[in-house]
Amino acid sequence: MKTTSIPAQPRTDLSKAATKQLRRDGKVPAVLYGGNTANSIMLDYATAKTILFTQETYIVQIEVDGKVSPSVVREAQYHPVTDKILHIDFLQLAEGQAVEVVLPLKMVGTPKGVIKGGRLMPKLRKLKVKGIPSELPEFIEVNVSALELGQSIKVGDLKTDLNITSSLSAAIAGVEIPRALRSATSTDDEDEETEETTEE
Amino acid sequence: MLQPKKVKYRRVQKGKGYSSGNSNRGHEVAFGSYGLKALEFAWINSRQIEATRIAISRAMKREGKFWIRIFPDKPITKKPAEVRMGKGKGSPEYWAAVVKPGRILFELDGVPEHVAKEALRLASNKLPIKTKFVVRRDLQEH
Repeated sequence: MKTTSIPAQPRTDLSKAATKQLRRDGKVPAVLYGGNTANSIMLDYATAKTILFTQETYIVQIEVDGKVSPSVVREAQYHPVTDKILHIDFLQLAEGQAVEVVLPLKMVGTPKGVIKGGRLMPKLRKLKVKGIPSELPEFIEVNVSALELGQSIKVGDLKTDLNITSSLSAAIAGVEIPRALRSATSTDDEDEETEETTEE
Repeated sequence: MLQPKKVKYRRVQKGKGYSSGNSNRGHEVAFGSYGLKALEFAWINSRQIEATRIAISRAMKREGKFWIRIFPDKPITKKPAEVRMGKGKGSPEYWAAVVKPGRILFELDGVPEHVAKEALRLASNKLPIKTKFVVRRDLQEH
């Protein structure tokens, strides 16, 4: 997984009014927990955006008062109307401890069905994986080159050593037959049928 | 037009309406890449949903895929004209979806952003509320 480091400041006043004020000042309240401790922190809104508004999943090195703590984003809350970040939960990583994270999927290759005129429709963008974050890849590669028209690839079909915790029966991507192609093939079939009947 | 196949009760009460706050579920783009988000409270009836569906499918020119994220499951009753008050609740007239601010109404995928934007602009013209075009969070540039 990719690593990024962000500065943060400790939060002392945890009241509702103080939290609202710091949101108005362009900060995001957050909590960093792991083990038996939970520390309330705050970070800049722009910094928070770089780790959340992206397809990547990061190991976040949070620097609070000179002390660096490796962590992963466990949960983020957003405003339902404005989509602004309201709060972030960071899970502090302990050495050698496996945690569940979401990894982005990357489609590799051109499906055979797409060459024939189909369209590749991704159905999943991320997968839940359990493992030690420093040993996990940046993304999971999905080879879609063997997909024919109308076929799809499922999570269970992936050849990987990762401990995937998402449902194995969920479809990752499929090659859909466009309506134009479907109608063209049906008219071709009809033509062939009529030719056969005339030959007879 | 969308409506439930079977309901437990034919008539329901009005509900809290405008004072019921923001949507706390269904406020994120979950299936497609682009979506239309409600900014106001409304009862959106099945005719409005159908008109919007037709507008979107025409604008997308049968390309891509779209999802309707609301369902009209609330029966709205009406008394006939020139009937005195009382004598019980009126008969069900139409079906509506209760939409709170923040709710994603429609989602699109498989088309370029400018096509999606135009399709959802035309769609928003069919709706009785203010809406905004939203892009999936991980596709946004920061």
